[in-house]
Amino acid sequence: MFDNSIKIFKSLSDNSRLRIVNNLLNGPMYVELLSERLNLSPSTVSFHLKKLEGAGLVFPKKEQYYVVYHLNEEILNKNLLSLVKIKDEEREKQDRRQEEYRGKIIKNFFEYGKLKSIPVQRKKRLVIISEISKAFEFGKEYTEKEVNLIISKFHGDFCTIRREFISEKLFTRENNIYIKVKEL
Amino acid sequence: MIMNKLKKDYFKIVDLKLDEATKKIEYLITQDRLDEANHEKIRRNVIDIFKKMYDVSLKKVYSYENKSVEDMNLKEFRKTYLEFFDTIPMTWLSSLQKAKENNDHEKIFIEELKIETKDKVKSYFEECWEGLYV
Repeated sequence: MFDNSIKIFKSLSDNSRLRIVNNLLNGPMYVELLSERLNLSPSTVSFHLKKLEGAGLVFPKKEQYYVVYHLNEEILNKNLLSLVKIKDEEREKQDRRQEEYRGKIIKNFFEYGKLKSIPVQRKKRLVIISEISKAFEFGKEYTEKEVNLIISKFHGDFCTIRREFISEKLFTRENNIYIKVKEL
Repeated sequence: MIMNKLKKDYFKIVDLKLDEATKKIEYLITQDRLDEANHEKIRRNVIDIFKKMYDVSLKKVYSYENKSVEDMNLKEFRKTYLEFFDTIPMTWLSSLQKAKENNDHEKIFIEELKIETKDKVKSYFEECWEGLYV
């Protein structure tokens, strides 16, 4: 999913490697030169360069007798958002898993369209109140009596569910007028 | 007397290297140079292993010769101790070989570091040994 992003972040979360990248910003360099400039042993510089290479941040190029390391500007010019953003297929998978979870909760807590009990766990309660909120229209104004009436079709304890609507910010309430603003 | 001098001289160097490594590890961690700190930990562990093997060798020779430390056959002790520098790195060498076959640069670096450190510790011992006869 984030394989390469993780490699990039891991390889950059090291002071010496950041100093190497900074040196390479001035132009391609070979191991011995970096070793002198950074006061690190050539083997340590090579170690760090291999890690940076593994993340695609640098690449080696043979020039005469030396292997010179270049920065991969294509990766360095990427913005942070493109590195942390998940791919669509992974997002779809996550949505599907969430939908499956919702379906399971609804199946367990509802019977013939009636809520059997109000879940104690907030995570499950959210699924339930969100499901009940589907009986309301977005943006429409409801009096408290109307809200109670609609909720009571699902469960007798309409006070608790109505309060949950407000505390979970699914509805706004002003002068006893309820408006649905969100669905989870 | 000679045995005591050898141990004193050798441990002085080894303890100094262990102390230097510990300080370097602390410094590298404060500098967010964690990989290098880990390399230094590996180096310190290798030094520590061979320090421990010194006393193991002493006990080994002492028990089978059934002599006091001062009467001990120094050359026999040296031979026993140096054998550890060949036997212990055997797994490192095979691990290095595998790492090379698989182009595993990180592993290659670590195994080479262990072997290089082992060679240095061995050279410290040899220096002290030669110092006995100067």
